[in-house]
Amino acid sequence: MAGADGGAVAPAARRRRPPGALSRLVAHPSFRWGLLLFGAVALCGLLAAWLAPFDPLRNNFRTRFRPPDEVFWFGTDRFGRDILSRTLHGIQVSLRIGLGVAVLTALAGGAIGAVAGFFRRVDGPVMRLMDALMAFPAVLLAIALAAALGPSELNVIVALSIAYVPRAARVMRAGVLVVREFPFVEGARAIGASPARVLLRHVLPNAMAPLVVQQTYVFALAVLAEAVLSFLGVGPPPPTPTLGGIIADGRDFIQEAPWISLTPGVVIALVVLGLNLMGDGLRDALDPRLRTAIR
Amino acid sequence: MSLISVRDLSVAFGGTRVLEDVSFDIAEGEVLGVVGESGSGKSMTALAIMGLLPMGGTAAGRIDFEGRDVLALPEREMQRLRGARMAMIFQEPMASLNPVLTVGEQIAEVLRRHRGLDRRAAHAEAIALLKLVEIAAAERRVDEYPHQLSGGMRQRAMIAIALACRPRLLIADEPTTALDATVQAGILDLLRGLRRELGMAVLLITHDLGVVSDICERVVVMYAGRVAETGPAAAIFDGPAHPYTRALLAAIPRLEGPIGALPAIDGVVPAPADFPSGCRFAPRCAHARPACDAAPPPLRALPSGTAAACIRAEEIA
Repeated sequence: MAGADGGAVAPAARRRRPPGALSRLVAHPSFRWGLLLFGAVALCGLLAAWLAPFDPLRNNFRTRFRPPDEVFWFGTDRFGRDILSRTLHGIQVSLRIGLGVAVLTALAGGAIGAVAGFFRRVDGPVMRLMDALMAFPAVLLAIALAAALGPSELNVIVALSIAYVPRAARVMRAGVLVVREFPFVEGARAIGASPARVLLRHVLPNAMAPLVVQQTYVFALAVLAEAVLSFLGVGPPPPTPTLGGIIADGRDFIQEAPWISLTPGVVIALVVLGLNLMGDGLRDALDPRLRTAIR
Repeated sequence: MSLISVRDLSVAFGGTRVLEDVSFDIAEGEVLGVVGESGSGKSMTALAIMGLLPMGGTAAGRIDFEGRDVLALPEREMQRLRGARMAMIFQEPMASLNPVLTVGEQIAEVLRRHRGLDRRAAHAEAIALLKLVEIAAAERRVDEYPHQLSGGMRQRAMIAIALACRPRLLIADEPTTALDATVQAGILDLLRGLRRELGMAVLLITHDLGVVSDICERVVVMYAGRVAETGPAAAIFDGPAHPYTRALLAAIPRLEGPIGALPAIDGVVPAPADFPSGCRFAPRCAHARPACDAAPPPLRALPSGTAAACIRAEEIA
């Protein structure tokens, strides 16, 4: 910070801006790969209605347990339903659940964590409650909640959100605890801003990056957890195609017809890998200090 | 009638009193310097006036500002005063601006909060304020983010925020400590000029006596949470009565005369929990006598024109 006081910066230096978070993100190799993987799978899911060659729900007993061939590219299940069509529609359901859980936990957990970190009086009670929730393994808690709420897509989203909220709350609280001590927060109070305004305008925008990154992992976790719930029979009720549900359908025939479980299994792996790669890129782009420290 | 009158201000955290019986006045348009080592309670005094004490801190005494005791005001009323009638600039220009908002947005925030300006008017006024604090190319700078500004410019932007509503009292907490020497001089010139232009009172916190002699009319010397000496700046510099003030002045490097080791004050300011029961400077004072440990000495007006909290002020003068 040499003698540039008063604005005497050379014109060339003045125009040169450090690359923003967005361009860092696009340039990040693992984010690109993640986006490619996730984007391809998500696009297939979105276009399932047009891409799927068969009705994912229609039974056809003449085509039961067909191994992959030129008609049924990925084979059929015990009801003769096309695995490709079911998987494509299943992607849609699974991603809807993943996105729903990621958004819901970000909103609820973010709000809880922000309030706990900023208003210190409620911190103790609120975070102990979160600790109590967190004491249960997330998947177990989700199974119990999903079983109690009854099988439906919305209930799966709600159950998984409750299970993952404490993590989001912790991440947000940690960020707020750091940012609230920055001098500019005191500066905001010194110009007469109300506590709510200090929190919403000055603290939150500076404390949000870790939560954004975390939510990409929660998205991936929720896709996995949905598969677990469906596998155990507390997911969206059959015959709704979900990735986990199709794997569960194939469980009893894994020796004779491995293609049933294999196809949705590979798709889940691709989705989770893609999301994790995107999360890594997002983390590096949102925290340039960390990236330079690593390189 | 003084603009602000601090009477017997004490600040405690739990059972630990970090500030005790601090009293001073600032007249309209006056510049008061508060000097002292780190830990002497300078910043705590400022935060108490602003009603921004850190969590767990409680203030006792009176702080009358424009006729109202700010210590008794409800928080909502304080929010209306802060930024409008009294404003503060901080030590760390690097970290005192919100990195995700443009400079203009941060200036506009005060204007919209206290003067009810709409977005466009606030933006225009923000540019005018940046010009007031002598930032070149204000029209462009107003839409830049803090990281695009140098340290000196950021402090100028902070001053622009503080002055946005033409406060009657500006508290400057070591506004130049974190800046280069040349930039420091620029900021001090600016503060001096603005004070004259806007007629506001300034409470300038510093540990730099050079700064004090430069722009302050009166001085409060603080030590370990108490006022050691107070008086007109000229009297303090010409005839310091308190041994602590003398030691501080002796530690200023001089341009003339032989080059030698600078005298230093032995020891450090004690932590608030270990404040002595008598004169708090006694353990480090060359003139201390057993009587000094009896009770905290009161401030006494002295013929030199200052008031000092030292029972031996006349003897050692």
